[in-house]
Amino acid sequence: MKRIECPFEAEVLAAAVESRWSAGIDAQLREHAATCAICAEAALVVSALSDARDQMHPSVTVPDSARVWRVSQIRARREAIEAAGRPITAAHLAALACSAGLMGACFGATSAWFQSALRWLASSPVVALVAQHVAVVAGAGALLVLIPAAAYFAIVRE
Amino acid sequence: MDDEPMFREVTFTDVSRLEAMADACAGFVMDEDAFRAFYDRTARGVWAYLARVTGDRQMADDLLQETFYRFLRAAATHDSEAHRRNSLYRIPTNLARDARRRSLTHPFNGIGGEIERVAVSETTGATERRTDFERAMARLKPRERAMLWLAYAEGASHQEIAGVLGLRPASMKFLLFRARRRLAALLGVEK
Repeated sequence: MKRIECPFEAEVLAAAVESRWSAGIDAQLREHAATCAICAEAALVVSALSDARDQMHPSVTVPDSARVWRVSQIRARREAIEAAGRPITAAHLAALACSAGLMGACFGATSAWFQSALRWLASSPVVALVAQHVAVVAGAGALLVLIPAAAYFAIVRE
Repeated sequence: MDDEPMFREVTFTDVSRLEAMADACAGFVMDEDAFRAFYDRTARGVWAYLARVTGDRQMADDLLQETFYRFLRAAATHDSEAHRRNSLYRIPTNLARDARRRSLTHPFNGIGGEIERVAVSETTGATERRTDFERAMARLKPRERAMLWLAYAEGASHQEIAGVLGLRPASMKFLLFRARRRLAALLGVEK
């Protein structure tokens, strides 16, 4: 089985993390690293990462903590208002649908023109054809909805 | 002239919205002073981690605010500073992964710009070393970058890295060894 650790690895890592690898390390440790692939790789990688961190951190400018706190508060409030408004919007929509249905029922019951139009529609050949092929019509309708929906989700995922 | 009332009648909707606003920040995981102290201790590290994993400074800026917002909203309890840091680092890890899934751009475009900007003040040798390192890191998998950065730049333990990246602690030693070997090989190739 391939060896993945070395007894000197911890010492090598400590020296590299503390940026002591290039200068000021024990000669014996350096000699060992010259012959041990695991320690040589560890020293190379950890020195490179430590250098990158040391060069990156002073140049990092992050937003002020007070600003981040304030923005977070505003956002939390906005989201809470949206969440609180959702059931109210749903209730409004339900009420609107109920009143529209009620108005439609009243109109249908009282309008002679509407009832004659319904009778004409029921006797039309198109309705009879649709009634004979309900499954085909339903399938075609579903495809008309599903294909654009699938295309939309595929594009969004990409 | 119409007399408009100075205050309109308060509706049920207004009351529920006001209650929601009042409750919104009560669910935060810490108060302002504690948050600001924690942010000051960790924000630079989180930004560097985000920039390293996403490879995009602009994205790191955007995701930093999101990270701390989600941390505040998580309302989780932490038994130690280390536990709190681990919870925090899990958020940018997930955000970076989601951003990568959404984005089709090369993952290391942003850091290139950073190299160009700092190059002026560096010696040629140092700039070359930096460029080699950036190129080598860019060729690693995002998870390997995250793992190496957490281990050797942030000094996280195997257990902590496993927690942040959602991996099994038992497999960390081998995964870290493999990532280190890959980076060493790439650095060797770049040199």
